[in-house]
Amino acid sequence: MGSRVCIVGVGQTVHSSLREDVDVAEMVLEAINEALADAGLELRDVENAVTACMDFWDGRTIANMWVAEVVGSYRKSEGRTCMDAIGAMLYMWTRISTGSFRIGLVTAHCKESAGRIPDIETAATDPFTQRRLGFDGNVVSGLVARYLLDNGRYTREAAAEVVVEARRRGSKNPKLEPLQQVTVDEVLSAPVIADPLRALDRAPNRDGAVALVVVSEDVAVGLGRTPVTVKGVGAITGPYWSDAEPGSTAALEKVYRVAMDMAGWDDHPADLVELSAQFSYQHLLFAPVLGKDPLDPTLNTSGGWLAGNPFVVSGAARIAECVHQLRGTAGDRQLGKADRAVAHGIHGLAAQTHSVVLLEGGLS
Amino acid sequence: MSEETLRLEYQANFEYRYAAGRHGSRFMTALRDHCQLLGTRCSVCQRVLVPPRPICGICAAPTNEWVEVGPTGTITGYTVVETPFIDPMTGVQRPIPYGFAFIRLTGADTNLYHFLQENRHDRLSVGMKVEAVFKPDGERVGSLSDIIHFRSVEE
Repeated sequence: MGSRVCIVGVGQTVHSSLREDVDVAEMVLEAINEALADAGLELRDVENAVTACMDFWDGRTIANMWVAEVVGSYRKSEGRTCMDAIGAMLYMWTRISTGSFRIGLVTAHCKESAGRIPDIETAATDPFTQRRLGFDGNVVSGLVARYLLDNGRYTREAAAEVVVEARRRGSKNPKLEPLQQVTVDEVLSAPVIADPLRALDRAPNRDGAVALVVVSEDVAVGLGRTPVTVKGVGAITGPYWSDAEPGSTAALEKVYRVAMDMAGWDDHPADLVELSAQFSYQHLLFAPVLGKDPLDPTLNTSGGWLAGNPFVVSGAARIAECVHQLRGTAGDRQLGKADRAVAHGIHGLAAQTHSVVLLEGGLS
Repeated sequence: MSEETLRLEYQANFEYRYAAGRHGSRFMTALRDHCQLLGTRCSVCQRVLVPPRPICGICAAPTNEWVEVGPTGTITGYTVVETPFIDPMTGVQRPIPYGFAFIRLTGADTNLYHFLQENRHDRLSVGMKVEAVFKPDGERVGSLSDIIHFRSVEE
């Protein structure tokens, strides 16, 4: 029997520059305990888990072994994903919507402080034709940004405004470590990381975890909590390696259309969009595809990745914000009206992978 | 067209800094400062887990008590290793053969991996009693290597 898929619990650590007081399991457990309390469930109630983490970032192969106990997956089913956490949410959606499980836990974690990020990023490249050149995410993003800049697709000033606004909005999000507020001039004059990108154009590195409790409709009703319903999901990877198309949004356009069709949304714009951009130019590129102006107050009320989330965790943090907005629990960030929300995640050195989750408040 | 096929050698060096966390730090500091071995007890099944951790995976329930275990224990599995192995923590090849075991510390319900002083098969058996041999005061740094190895206890 199939079921509607509902999110009934969200939990997050504070996304911090350094969490050396906890190991990975303890860090993830903080988010899980908050999410289970939010849902009114115990860890032993969880029937299955889908985890999102990256071996090279954790510094351990089969890195989900670090969290198997805290996600309660011993002798139960655990699905393990290695991409932005919206991929894990998609996987959990298949498990609940098909009726295979009724109660699931999605977790995402990363300690960006644990390893040396340029080494880890360059290990993603083709060993024969790319690796010897030793380039990382900053270099790839510099190439894309320069392509876009020289084709008049964005301006550095507009990108700097995105950074300023992300930090301003993020200051209202209690789950983010406070960031220094900056001006457009400060972004434009920050040290160059890979022309035309400046240090402030990239999201700051963070340690943290997010957990989501995902259940079938009958469980949601039984819990008496205000659920949020998953209406559409999708993940897609566009061309990369030597087929990469700098600045193409075709993959995002396609996956968003597929998810909107699934949700039956036509072209009704979402009341809230939480998009993932690790670099400021990506925000300018993706926002119009998701139907928002880059500085729209209903885009990234959380502050977004640029306000400081860990790699892989960003998509789950986007979902958490959507859930809070749709339930009316977003505190100082609460929008007046929010019935429909889109959470977006990216993965890959050139953000060639996009994933989306379309959400509606209540049991819609 | 050339039939020659090429290969590329690549040596990577990945550096990490792992936080031991609250449970791991308490375990390692007790070992360093007092030659004490600690576990945590599951609030449901009452098993004592070593190394200590916040959740009992089998019960999916929190642990809620710290318990001292060992330093004696019982071998639950052993092998004698004869494969040369470069210790990644020291960069030095460990002398072979060496005894390696799964050890159920007294008072614990789980097993700890460690070295054995003994490296002869005919002197080892499952069920054998062993005890931890600690590095001397001043040489322990708060790592599992503060235990040199386990040696047999004459009964």
